[in-house]
Amino acid sequence: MTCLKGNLYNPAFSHIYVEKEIKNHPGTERILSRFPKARVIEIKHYKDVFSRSSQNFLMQKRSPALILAKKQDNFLYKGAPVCQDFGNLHFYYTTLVMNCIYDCEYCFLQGMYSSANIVVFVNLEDYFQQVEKMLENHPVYLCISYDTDLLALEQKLGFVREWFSFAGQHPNLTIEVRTKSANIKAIENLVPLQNVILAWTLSPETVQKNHEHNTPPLMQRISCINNALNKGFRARICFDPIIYSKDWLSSFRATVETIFSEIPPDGIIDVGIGVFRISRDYLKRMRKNRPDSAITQYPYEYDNGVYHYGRKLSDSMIAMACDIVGKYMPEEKIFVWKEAEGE
Amino acid sequence: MIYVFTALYCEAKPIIQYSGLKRQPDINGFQYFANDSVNLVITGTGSINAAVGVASLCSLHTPDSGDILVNAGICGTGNSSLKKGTPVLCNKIIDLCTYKTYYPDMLFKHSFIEGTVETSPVPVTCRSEKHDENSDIVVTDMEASGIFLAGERFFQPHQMFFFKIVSDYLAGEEISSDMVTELVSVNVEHVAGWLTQIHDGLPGKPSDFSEEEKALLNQISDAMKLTVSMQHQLNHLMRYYKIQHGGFADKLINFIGENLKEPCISKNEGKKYFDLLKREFV
Repeated sequence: MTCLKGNLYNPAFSHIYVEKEIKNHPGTERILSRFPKARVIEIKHYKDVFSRSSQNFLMQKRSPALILAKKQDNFLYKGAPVCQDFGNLHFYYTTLVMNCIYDCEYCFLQGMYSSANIVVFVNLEDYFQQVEKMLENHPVYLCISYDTDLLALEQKLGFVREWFSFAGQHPNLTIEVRTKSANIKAIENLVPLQNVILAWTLSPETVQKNHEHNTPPLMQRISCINNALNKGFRARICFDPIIYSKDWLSSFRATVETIFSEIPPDGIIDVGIGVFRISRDYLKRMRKNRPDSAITQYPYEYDNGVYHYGRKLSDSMIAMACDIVGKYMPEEKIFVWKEAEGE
Repeated sequence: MIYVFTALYCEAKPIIQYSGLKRQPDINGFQYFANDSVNLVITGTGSINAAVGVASLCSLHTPDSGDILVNAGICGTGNSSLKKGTPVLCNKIIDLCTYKTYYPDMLFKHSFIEGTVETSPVPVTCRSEKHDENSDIVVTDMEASGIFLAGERFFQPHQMFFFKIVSDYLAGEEISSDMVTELVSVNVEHVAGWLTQIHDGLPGKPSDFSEEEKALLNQISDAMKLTVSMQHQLNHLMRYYKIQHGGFADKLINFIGENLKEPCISKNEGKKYFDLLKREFV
């Protein structure tokens, strides 16, 4: 297979599609000011571009466009069964941005969306209003970076700063910002909060190099976590998804040893562990998108709508991973995604 | 293969000459020119003709992921800052019959002016209010939306390119066919050079299994009496192994030699060997 040379592609966000309804929204103007060279194309609704038929996810990944839109409804979603709740009763997630600047072969986003373009909902004020309504009834644990990597986009969007500010005014709200970013600049001017958790997903170097395209290397992420801890931020580590290969165990062990030789374990609030699992519909699309990926083409076992490594292999991977992490973290700080919990 | 669609012969003529295309038998009454790398159909004016022209060619010569569609032709504009002969690469197509809007992907670097094309059912001969007020560059043609609508059945949005060359300012100017040919001629080398670069680099349909591998898979599938569902699992297993190791034929031949000299006598026995095969290849 031949591929176009990289320099034939437009840089990411060379084209920005803007919904007519929010073209004068302050959030739109702020974001557009950070892309002075971008070509702006007005659209009626983000789905006119984002949900077109037969788009090529991988080709668009080489030159993703930005789509600025207004979220009209469904601001908060109940946590999905395949997501870890870390022991939180009122577990929700929200979609501020759809899609990610990184390109991980195992990522569910490529199964969920037909486009690799990135949709940004600029009307944060409506999200805040909905969260405040919910907070009147009970505390809320909210993941704000599930369908994207907000920290990686922070210098362009500034959403993490906005949510820090909001969380600072609402102590019964806890937010988690999941990321693979190593860009400490994105948070260096923020004041750490007890109710904001920065959660880094870490993978063995071989997985990062071969399957997490465009992401920062493991050591850079470790360095970023250390910097964040030194500044007083609360940090979580997620080994999720753990990807199976013949030598997964040795590389996972080496990774954990490296991490905790660099990061003081008592600085980490908890660790999440999960093996790769994916819904049937998502995997079908992922296999079509990535016919050459060992991750998408693995002969998974299927039941209850989910593809996985098989109960025996998954359980043994989880047990071994817990055993290795358990050398550094107490058991009560290790959260495991188990199939039974996900059902 | 590059699939080119123009409305008129005078628009196609410079492309035919530049690419050295030869006249072929008509397709459904459409004039058709081709060589080894370019197919060109003259659709006639109007978006319905354009759509039928695209469907006719693409049904006969089905494009794949390494092919591109190009719509080239003249256009009018109310923007007098655009000189006659300026090629506009369209990032937005508005159908003035339905007010539906279409967006080709804009993934590739280029040095052209980008703009919106509004496809009108009739020639636009007087300046009127433009419908895309947000764009400085708005041109008018009669085919683009029809080409896109039919094209998206065969191509992905990043495979379609719409070049409109400014020929008039919507004031009812007389335009001869020679003038049209000249306007296209001055752009053909630049546009064709850019498109060829893109076409040559686009990934084609990925190869799956070789004929030898397919034969082996059939052989072992028969020997193990696999169900259709298990055959799919076997294909996935071998695809996975091939991605990791470059091929599976030698290992599979060994497996057959060691375990399946005789075909299984039942599906139960086949399942036993299939489980063994999975353990060896994962």
